[in-house]
Amino acid sequence: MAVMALSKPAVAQQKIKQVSPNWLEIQDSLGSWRNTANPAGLTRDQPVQFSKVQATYDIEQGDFRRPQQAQKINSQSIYGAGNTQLNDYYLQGFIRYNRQFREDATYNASLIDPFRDMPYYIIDSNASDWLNQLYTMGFDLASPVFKDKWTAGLSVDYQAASGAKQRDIRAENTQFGLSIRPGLTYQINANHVAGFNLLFATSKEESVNSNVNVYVDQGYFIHYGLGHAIPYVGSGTNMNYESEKWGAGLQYEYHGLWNLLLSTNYAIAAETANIGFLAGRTQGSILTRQSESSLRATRENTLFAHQIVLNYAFKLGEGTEYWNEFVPGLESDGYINQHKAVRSTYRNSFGEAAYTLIKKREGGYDWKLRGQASYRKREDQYLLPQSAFGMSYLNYALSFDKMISSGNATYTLGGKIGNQHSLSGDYRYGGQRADELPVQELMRSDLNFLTTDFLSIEIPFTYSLQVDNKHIHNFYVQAVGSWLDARSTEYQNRKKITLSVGAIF
Amino acid sequence: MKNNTFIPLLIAIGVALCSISCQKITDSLDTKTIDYLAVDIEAIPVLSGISSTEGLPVTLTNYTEKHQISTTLQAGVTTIDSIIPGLYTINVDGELLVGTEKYLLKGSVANVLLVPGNQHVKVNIDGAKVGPLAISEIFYAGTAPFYFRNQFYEITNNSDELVYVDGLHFANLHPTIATTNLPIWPEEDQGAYTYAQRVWKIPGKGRDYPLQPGESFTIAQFAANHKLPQYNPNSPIDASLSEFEFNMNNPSFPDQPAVDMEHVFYNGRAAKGTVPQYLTSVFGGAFAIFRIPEDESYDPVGNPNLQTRDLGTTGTTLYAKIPLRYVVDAVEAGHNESMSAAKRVPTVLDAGMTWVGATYNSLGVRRKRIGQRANGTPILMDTNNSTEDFERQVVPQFRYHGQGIPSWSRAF
Repeated sequence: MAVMALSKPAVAQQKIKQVSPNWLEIQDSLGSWRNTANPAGLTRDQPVQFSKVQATYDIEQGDFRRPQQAQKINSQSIYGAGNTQLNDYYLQGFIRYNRQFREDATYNASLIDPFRDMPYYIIDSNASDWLNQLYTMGFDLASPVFKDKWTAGLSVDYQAASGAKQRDIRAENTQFGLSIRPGLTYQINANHVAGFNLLFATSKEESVNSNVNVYVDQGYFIHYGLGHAIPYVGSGTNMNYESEKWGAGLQYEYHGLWNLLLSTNYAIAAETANIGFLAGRTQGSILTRQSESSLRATRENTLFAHQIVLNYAFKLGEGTEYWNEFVPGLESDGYINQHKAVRSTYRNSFGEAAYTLIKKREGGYDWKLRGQASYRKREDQYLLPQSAFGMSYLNYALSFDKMISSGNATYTLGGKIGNQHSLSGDYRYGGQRADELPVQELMRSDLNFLTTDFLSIEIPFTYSLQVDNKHIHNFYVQAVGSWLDARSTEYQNRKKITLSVGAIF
Repeated sequence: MKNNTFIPLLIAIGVALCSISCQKITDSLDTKTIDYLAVDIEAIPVLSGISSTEGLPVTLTNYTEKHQISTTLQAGVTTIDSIIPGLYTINVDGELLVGTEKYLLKGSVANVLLVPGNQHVKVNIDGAKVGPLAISEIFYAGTAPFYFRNQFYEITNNSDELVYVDGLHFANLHPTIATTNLPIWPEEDQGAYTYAQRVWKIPGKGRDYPLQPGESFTIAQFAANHKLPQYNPNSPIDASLSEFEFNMNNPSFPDQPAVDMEHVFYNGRAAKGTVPQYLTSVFGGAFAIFRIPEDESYDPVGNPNLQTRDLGTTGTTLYAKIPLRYVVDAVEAGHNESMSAAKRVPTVLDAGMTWVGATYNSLGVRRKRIGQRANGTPILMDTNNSTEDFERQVVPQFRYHGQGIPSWSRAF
C-alpha cells in the first residue's frame, strides 16, 4: 500500500523534529487547505513529513441516546497515516480499521448506520446487538507549482464495511463507498489564491434479512419516512441501496494580517432503496442537495494565534416513493414501476461560530482557549398524508487545554463544558397508523431525545514522550472522558471513555 | 511524474467520471411532487331490472396505508377527489329501492393501482349472493412452539332453512400463502373459476348430516384434545369433539373418532399424497366451501378440463378448477393487513382479507354476530368481505356465538 511507504525518508516541506499530538492538533486547526475538499492546495499548507500509527479503544453507554443508537458501544480501531514527497509531488494517505460491538440497538434491521439520512429501511422491535467492521483508506496527491501559478491534486477515499444484526430478524450487511476529488489551485498574486475541485462519489449497501428461528415469524415494518411505515410478518426482506453523488467546491485564500480561507462546496446526490437485488422494485429514493460554506480567519505571531471559524451548511432531501405492480408470467420482468412521486422532504440547516486563542510554544501550544456556538434546525415533512417533524437547538461550549513539560515528556490536560438548549420541537403524524411502533416508539422517542437539553463535560488528557530529540520519534497516550447529563426525567446520561496509544515518527 | 503527465491524467479521470451514469440523479430531478388524484368510478349494473346505481355507498380502501374514503355513487360516473395514489380495493355494497322492490347490491374490484394515468375504474354491480352456509371461524395460526395440528374450520348454517351438508366440498385455494407473485390461469377460463390446491368433501348419502339454522360443525386438521401433554397444553382448543377431521393416515397422529373427510383432489389425483398432515399456511390461507348442483357432476381428477397448472411458472403441479357459481362461501386470510395487496381470491367471493398478524400465536378469526334467532342462535355477518365480516385475533373457540350443536354430532 502507498500508505505503508510513507514512513520512508523523504524531502519534507518543513524540517521540524518535534511532532507531538499537541503540535499536530495545532497544524490541523490552523492549517487552511487541509480543511477544504481540494487536495491541490495541500502543499500550500507546508505540511511536515511524518507518519503516525494509533490504536484506540472506546466504550460508550447510557440511556441518553437516540432510539436506534445502541445502549452500549464497544469499539476498537487501528489507524495509520503519513505523508511523503514523490519527486516533486506531495502524497499523504491513511488507513483505518474499526470494529464495533453495539449492544441493544433497536428499530433498524437494514442499515449499518441508521443515521445516514436514509428514510427507507426495515424497522423491527427486537433490541439486538450489531457487530460491525469498517475499513477506510485514502490518499491525497498534490502536484508542485507549475507555471508559477498552478497546482493540481487528486484525492481518493475508499470505504468498506460489514455489519451483522445478531437477533431475529437478522441482517447481514455489506457496504462500500468510493469518492474521488480532483482539484486545481491558482495563485493570483502573492496574497491571493483561488481553488476549484470536483467531487464524485458512489456507494452501495446490501442488507440480507433472515430468521434463524424459522418457526417464529417476526413482525417488521418497511419505513418510508416520518413514521409512515407498512407492517409485515415474516423474516424481513433484502434491501439494496445504491447512490451516486456529484459536487464541486470553490476556495479563495487571502494572505495578509489575517489569513483568510473561504471555501464553499455544493453536491447533489441520489440514493435508491430497492427490495431485492434485481431491478424494478425500487421502494424509494432520496435526492439530496447539500451546500457547505466555511470562513477561516487566522492571525499568528510568534506568541499567539487567533482563529475565527464560521461554518454554514444546508441540506435538502427529497424522498421519492415508487408504486410498483407485479406482472406475473414467464416472459414478465416482474415488478413494473407505474408511478413515482416526491412524498417527503428533509430540510437541515446548521450554523457555527468558533473562536480559538492559542498561546504558542515550541512543539505545540502552551495553552488553548476555545469558545464555540452552533445552531441547528431540522424541518421534515411527509406530504400526503401530511406529517411534520421539526426541531432546533442552540449548542455552546467553552474549552481550555494546558500543556506542561517535564524533560522530554509533555502532559496536556483539558476541560470542555458545553450546553445544548432546545429551542423548538414538534412531531405531528397525519397517517392512519398513529398507534403503531414507528410512530409511538421510534419517532416520538427520537423527538424526545433531540429536544432534551443537556450538559456536556469532556476531559482530555495526553501524555507525550519525545523519544529522540534528533528525529521525529514520539510516543503518546491519550484518554478522553465525556459525559452528557440530560436535563430530563426521561433520560439520565451518556458517558464515553476513549483510550489511545500511538506513535509519530 | 511530470506535470505534463499529471494534468492529462486528471483530465482523463474527469472524462471517465463524466462518462459514469448520473441516471439516479437525473431520474430524481425529473420526479414531480405527489398530489391528490381525481378518480372516476363507473358502476355498471348487471342485474336485470337495475338501470342505475345512484345512491349506493362506495368505499375505496388502501389496506397497506389504511386510507379509506367513502361516498355515495352518482348517476353515471362518480368522480372522487382527494385520492392519495396507491393500491385500492373498491367496494360497492348497499340496498337500492327500485319502485317497491328493494335490492341488495354488491360489486367490488380488488387491488387496483390508482396512479396518474389510471384513474378510471369500472365496477360491475350485481345482486348480493349470500350462501346458506358461512365459514364462521378459522384457526390456522397454531400454537407456540410450532404446534400446528390444532387448526380447525367452523361452518355455520346462517340461513333460515335446514341444510344438509353431505357432499359439501372444502378446498384451500392457490396460492396457499398470500403473495404479490400471483399465478397466471388459462385465459379461456375468463375468470369463471377459482383454483384449489387440495379438495375434500363431507361424506354422506345426502341426508346424513342435517344442519338446522344457527347450528354449526367443525372440521379439524387432527380431531384430538390438543391440550393433552403429548400434544400442546398451551393449545387454546380441544378438538376431540370436532365433527369431521382431515385424516392423512399418519400413524403418529392416528385416526380420531371424528368422521373423516373424503379426499377429492391433490395435484391431479384422488390420492392424498405423502404429506403427513393437512397443514394449511400458518400465515393464513384462502378457503372455499362449495356445493355441486344436483344436475351437474364435478370430477377434477377424471376431467382434465377441471385441472390446470400455473402458467406463470414452469411448475407441473395441477390445481383443481372450482366454478365460482358453485362456491357457497370463501374466506381469504393473510399475514396481516398489508398483504391485502396480495389478494388471490376473486372479489366476487371475498372482497377483503382477514388476518391474525403473526404465526403460532394461538389466535384465530371469527365472523361477527349481527343478530340472533328466537332460539338464541346467532345470525352472522356475511357481506362477502372478510375484512369487515370477521373479528381478528380472537381466542379460538367452537360455537363462540352460541351456535347449536347438530343432533348427529358426538358433542350433542
